[in-house]
Amino acid sequence: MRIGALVCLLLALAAGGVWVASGKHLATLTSKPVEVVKTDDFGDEVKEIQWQETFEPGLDLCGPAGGGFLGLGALLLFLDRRKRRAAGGAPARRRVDAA
Amino acid sequence: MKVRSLLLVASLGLGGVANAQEAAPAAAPAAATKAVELGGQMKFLSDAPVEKIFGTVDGVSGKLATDAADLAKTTGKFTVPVASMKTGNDKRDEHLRNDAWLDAAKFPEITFDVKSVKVLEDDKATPVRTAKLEATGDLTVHGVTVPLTAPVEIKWKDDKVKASTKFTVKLADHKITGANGVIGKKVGETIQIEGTLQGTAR
Repeated sequence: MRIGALVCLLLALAAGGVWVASGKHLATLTSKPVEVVKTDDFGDEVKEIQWQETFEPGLDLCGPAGGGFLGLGALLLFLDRRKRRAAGGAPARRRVDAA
Repeated sequence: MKVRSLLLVASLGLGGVANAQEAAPAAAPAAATKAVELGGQMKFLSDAPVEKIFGTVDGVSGKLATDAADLAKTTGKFTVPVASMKTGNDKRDEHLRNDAWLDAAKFPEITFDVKSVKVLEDDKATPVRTAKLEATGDLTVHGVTVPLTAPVEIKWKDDKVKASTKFTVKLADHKITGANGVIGKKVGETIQIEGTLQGTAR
């Protein structure tokens, strides 16, 4: 379970990394603007935008994915601690009695 | 005899004049009004604290009537098809067209009716004539019409015309409220619009 928790934590970090690398968009981009420069009848440069299909995950995807993995990792860690305590393996909590 | 000859001369004279008129009809006045048809792409930008949204709209068209000698006598209409707006996210483009935003089903077009034009500069140099104008008219977005004055730069060469403009539109003026307080946070309260349209004058 500890390994599982570690894997989940790494996946959560990976989701964050993918989001940052993709440009930190709020919404996932399914197409991106590409500038195409043409010369018009007046000899001026005209910049036209054409949309190119792409997939750049935004916070709308990476957020829930990262949060989900983080939550799952935390749950696995909690379950692992409980299991160890039940088996007597986890360190006992100190009870400080009032003097 | 004298009267007869006088009458004869008069009728010959009048006939001559009539023939002259038939032979050389009065010169038609030069066609001053030109029909200008423009088309192209416009770009828009929403700059909000949380996110910047850039988009384009293709198929923008303009039909104008103008006097080449006096551009102040220009009227016409520009049309923007709402369905062709793109922002890079298919879901967001769908939202843009739904009833919480531009409501494309009810209002498929954004229009700008040019009512008057003020000429700020008009350089009639050849071969390219350039002019800076201010176009005033009615902008209709989401079914709500609001007056708008936009700066326009014109280039005119032979029968080729190019018009560039840049202006802002306030969403609240056109009763566009969006969903759940998004305007002001994820979508700017004002949208910056710019573009260049090209076409011909006949």
